[in-house]
Amino acid sequence: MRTAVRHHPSIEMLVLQSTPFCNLDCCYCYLPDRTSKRQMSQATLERTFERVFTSSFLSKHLTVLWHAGEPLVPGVAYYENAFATIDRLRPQGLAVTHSIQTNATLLNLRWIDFFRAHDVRVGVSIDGPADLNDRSRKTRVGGGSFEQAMRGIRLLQDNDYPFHVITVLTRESLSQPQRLFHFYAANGIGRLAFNVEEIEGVHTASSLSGNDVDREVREFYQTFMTLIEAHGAKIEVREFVSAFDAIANPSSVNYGNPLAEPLRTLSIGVNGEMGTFAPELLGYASERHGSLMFGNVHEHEIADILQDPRFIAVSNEIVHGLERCRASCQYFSVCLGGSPANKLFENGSFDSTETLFCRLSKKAVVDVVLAKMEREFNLAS
Amino acid sequence: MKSARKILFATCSLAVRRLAWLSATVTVLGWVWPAFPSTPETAKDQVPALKSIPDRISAVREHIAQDGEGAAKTVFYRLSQFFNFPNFPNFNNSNFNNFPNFPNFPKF
Repeated sequence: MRTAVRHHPSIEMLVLQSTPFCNLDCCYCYLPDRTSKRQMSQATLERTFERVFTSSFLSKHLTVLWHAGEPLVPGVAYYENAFATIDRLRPQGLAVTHSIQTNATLLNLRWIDFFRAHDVRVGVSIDGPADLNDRSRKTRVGGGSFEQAMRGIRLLQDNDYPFHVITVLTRESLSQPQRLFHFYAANGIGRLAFNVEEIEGVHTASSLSGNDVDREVREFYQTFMTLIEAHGAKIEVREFVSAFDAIANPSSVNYGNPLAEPLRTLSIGVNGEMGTFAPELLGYASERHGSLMFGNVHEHEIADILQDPRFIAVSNEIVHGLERCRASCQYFSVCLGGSPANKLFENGSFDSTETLFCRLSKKAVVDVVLAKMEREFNLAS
Repeated sequence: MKSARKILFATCSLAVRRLAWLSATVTVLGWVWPAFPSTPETAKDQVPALKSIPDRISAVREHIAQDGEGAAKTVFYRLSQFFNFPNFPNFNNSNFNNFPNFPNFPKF
């Protein structure tokens, strides 16, 4: 049996594209098909979970992330049916956690009741104060989305429903850490993740490309961290905690790199197409390998992915890329090879090394957090 | 005339000897001098080689290990609190259950 998989993989996160459509049209979006109003049929959904739940790649817990489009577009009734199907098929002893990453513009009380009934974890995408947010996060007619997103956030808060926020950092926001900090603090946002504006798919140029951006990003993280400390604010920043864990905890390396290991993240597209590694690869092809989808739930078992010749070629190329990172990068022990999807989109191949993403989301963060820890321990770097 | 030649010879021989000593002194100084900074500013400019990231991480981990046990882990405890990381190292705990991908799925 020819396979690039070295260890028995385990599906930890299932990313489902209930629709590729998004009611917003953010200027940095990587989704190639976000004007399509298709929805994943209940038949595709059912077949997906039949495949996943009967595969040998399950562990005791599965996170289902509804993503790769605006997941609230299909409406509450769609998810009531979907969740009932999933619950009917779910094997005993398997815990399933649902997560939704939303722009929050379509939230209403019915959604919040639904979230509460199913303990859905909610992430809201908003880029800070109105002018920063609306610069990139636009409606379909080109207007700003800030007021609608904040209405959704207020609804969550008024109903005591927990959520976290993902903010995309652009060149414009890098120079305004104070305004961003005060925005989160003033609006009671205590859990936060920063995604840098990446070069991915149809978004082929980032405002963060160019000279001096590494220094600016470090200054941004440093200033933001200083503001948290100075104000005694209880704001969790995913990047800081992740770096802290990676630096402080030697065993964190055992978790590996879910973005580079087959099947740990399994992505199912709206028509049942199957992909793995990163969901950003949904709907994409590479010059060298062709389509980066490795089958379809209507025709293939999950195990078939591991036998797909294109998967084997891609997986081998990813492994080679990781080895090159290991050999050339002193951050490897805390990064573990970064994101193969970014390598492909930025450098044209999975076996390349440094990307904008790893410079700004990994190295810069590690530098700032490590320096903070050294200061606390009175260690000169 | 003979005494004048003697005086001239003595003078030349003294000059040659002094020149030889001077050359030797300059040579020795040339060997020794580069070990010292030419100016105080140059000394300031000389920075020790930067430690590598793995070395710096190792040093931090060593200090965490030496930072006492339990509540005595004062620096580490303060850092954990600062990063809102209260139950380290049991990372997958209820304090973080609203981060669906937290901390190991860095992007979505």
